Amino acid sequence: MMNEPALTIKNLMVRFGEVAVLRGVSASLPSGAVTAFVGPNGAGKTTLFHAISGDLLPDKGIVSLRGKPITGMAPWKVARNGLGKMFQDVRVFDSLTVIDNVLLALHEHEGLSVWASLTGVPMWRRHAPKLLQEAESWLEIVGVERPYDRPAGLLSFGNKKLLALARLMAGKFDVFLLDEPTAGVSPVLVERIAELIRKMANRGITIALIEHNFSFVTNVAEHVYLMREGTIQDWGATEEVLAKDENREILIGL
Amino acid sequence: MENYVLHLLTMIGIYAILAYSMNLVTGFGGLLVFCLAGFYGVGAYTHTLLQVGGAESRLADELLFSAACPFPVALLGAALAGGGAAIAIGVVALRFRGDFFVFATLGFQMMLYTVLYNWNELGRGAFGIYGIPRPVVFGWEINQPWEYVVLVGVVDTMVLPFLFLLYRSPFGLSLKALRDNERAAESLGISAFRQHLSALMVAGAFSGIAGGLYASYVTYIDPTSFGLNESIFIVSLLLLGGSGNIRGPIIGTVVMILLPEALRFVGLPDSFAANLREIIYGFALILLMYWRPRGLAGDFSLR
Ligand SMILES: Nc1ncnc2c1ncn2[C@@H]1O[C@H](COP(=O)(O)OP(=O)(O)OP(=O)(O)O)[C@@H](O)[C@H]1O
Ligand SMILES: [Mg+2]
Repeated sequence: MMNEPALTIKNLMVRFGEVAVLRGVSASLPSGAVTAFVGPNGAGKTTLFHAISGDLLPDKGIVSLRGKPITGMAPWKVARNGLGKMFQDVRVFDSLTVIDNVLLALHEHEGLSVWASLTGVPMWRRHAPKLLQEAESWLEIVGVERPYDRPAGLLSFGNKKLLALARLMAGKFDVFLLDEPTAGVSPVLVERIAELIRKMANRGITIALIEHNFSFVTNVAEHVYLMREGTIQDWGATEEVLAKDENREILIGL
Repeated sequence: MENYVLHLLTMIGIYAILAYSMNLVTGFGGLLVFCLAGFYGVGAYTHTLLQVGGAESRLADELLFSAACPFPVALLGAALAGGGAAIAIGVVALRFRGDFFVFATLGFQMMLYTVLYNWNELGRGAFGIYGIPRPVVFGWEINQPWEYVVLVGVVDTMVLPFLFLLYRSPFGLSLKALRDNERAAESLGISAFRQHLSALMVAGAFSGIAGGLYASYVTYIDPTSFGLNESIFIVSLLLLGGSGNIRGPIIGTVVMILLPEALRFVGLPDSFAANLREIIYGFALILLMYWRPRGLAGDFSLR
């Protein structure tokens, strides 16, 4: 079953100097489903996500979010259009407290200006307890280790990933791009992350993720795209794509 | 002796505004800027031109314009001019990243200085402007050293809370996030350019106010007070005291203003003391960066 796509990518090309890293990638993310991008190291998966989120300007191709073209848009504008992202290297705000990391995502974007911050003092003061509560409940849902008032830089790697996830969930995004959400994370946390991803998808959020952990992919993703050397090698239902011998060879027998 | 203490208090009050302005941009925003003295100078000159004038003023003919404005209006003008200069410079400088941004602010600092130095029709260039009127605030004529302490104290208590509020506000939080990881902050919908430009604008406006206060305190200004040296001095207030919080900048300001005075009392010959002071400054800063990269009381390392 393919719903109307939340995000479509057409013929995306990216080159770094002489090297073509994406050579015409087309894909679409069905709304409210989980789609995985798999492929050997260096296949261009992270580059694809960067090109979607505006962190990188593609040389060619079109990205559209619910029919609206977002190609070449600044990353913060793409985010305001509802696309949230978790980086491969996590990127929590180390010097902010754990709870401030989530609070930041909860604030309305307009409320972050100097003007709103000065004129809306009673407002952000009054909202503060409510927002704090909400931030705390996201942290609890995700299961980030307490205490929440210490700098996020002190968290373990696994907990930083959870925090990045909590930050995404607190933001008002309806499409998530997750770059290797389970890499370097203990098996217990992998199971919890899988659960969270399914929960998010059930709430109607469209999720794309990059993964090397195939049992995890089989566990959470309905669809999978297999990438190799900057192209889409195969795509379809997860079980089918991962079952083919030639695909297994690309993935495992490098 | 008493007047001397009052003088130091006045200077601390003026530099506190500069240090806290710098703190917003550098301590919270993570942007090292070397053109704050430029904004300070723009404020000082704007304030002066707006203040000078009136029937008995001979000086007015030698300036680009003179408006004989009341003191509060002139100070407001200084804030607008400082903020405006910061926006103009920020729009260009923020196109550059990292070290290049720092160099761009350095370049603009030199440009502002050169303009003040060579544009004779504006404010008599290198000759400077003397006889700047003493402030009259709602009928209160300010003459005595203690009156200046009160004036600067009142202005500080009026403007610094705005900065402290911004430090704690959602705006301040977004600046800290950008400082920690710009791309992650942008992925949450925060525009680095907008937030950084806003921070620069606020810092420029407040530095402009500091400039206005300075001009009407010393009653004589020339471009040398607003050069690169001065910008480096302001950066070092923050380096020394520490940034990203409220206590750091004031500690840095007090120490940096009192230190040379303390050296003076050691009783060295004046010509020698001045040079030695510079050497001790430099040496102290290097030691500090080595031992305490966060400054004496900072939350955030500028390294
Ligand atoms: N900024 C860059 N400049 C030059 N080459 C780059 C750059 N970024 C990535 N590459 C190259 O592009 C190719 C694809 O990189 P990418 O990070 O997209 O791979 P990936 O599929 O995410 O790999 P992994 O599974 O290891 O994360 C690699 O060969 C990489 O060396
Ligand atoms: Mg990758």
